Amino acid sequence: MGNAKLLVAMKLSELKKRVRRTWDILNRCHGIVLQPENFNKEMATFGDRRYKKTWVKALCKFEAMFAYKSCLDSWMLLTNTFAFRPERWDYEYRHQIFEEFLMYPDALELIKSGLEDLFDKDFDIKEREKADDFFGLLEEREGQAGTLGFSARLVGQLEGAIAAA
Amino acid sequence: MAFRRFTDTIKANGGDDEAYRQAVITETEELFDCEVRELYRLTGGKPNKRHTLPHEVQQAYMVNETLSAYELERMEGTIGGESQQEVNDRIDAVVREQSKQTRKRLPWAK
Repeated sequence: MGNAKLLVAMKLSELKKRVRRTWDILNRCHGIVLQPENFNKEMATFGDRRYKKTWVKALCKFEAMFAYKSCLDSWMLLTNTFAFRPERWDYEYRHQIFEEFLMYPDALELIKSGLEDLFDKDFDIKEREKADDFFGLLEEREGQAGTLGFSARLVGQLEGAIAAA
Repeated sequence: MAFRRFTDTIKANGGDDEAYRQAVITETEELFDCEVRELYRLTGGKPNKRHTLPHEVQQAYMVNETLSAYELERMEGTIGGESQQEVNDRIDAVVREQSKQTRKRLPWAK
């Protein structure tokens, strides 16, 4: 069944709260947000704060950073972090977040490493099923004009990793 | 598996996918005084495969995730909040407190 939430784009006020929250998580040390005044300086690097697109850019950048920074087990990127389901608040921005993540030089390595674990014979089957939403994300990328070349390459490389695993 | 139990208890207390990621950052910081990335770099582990970390490090995670899971199981049904973010933050606070306690028992405790 469709999720009504899907049809409603995130409001600017909510977007701003999300950006701030993720920034706080990234800049927290032993529970305390360090130099909160830097938030405004960092936001200025994304453009004019009056526009929603500026906040979307910041959100996706910070979410990708959060994904990268919290990656203790690379397979969790596939079963948790990038397993976007429609009920997730960040579903609307899933492609941009993933795109930002791919900007990290070793992003593809991390995903390949996650796939190796995911397709290991000892890997829990139920846990593996959670990665279906990640594969759904890749399929959607295939259907997107403009990303086809890169995405086809990505999927090709990932298939290679699956075959090798 | 300690890790599985840990993630299950986070979920059972109302935490979402982000709560788990917050918890990883928190426990790594409290147990090892560094970020996940640095931990792999400093110990020579293969990023990001936990089983390639030194045994002492893996054991510290295992112990901490087991104890955090016990604590979260004990608290099940009591962690609330007005928003998902509040719930996540409360779970994070439990993991942080437990991680601090765990750290005291580790060989590298100050």
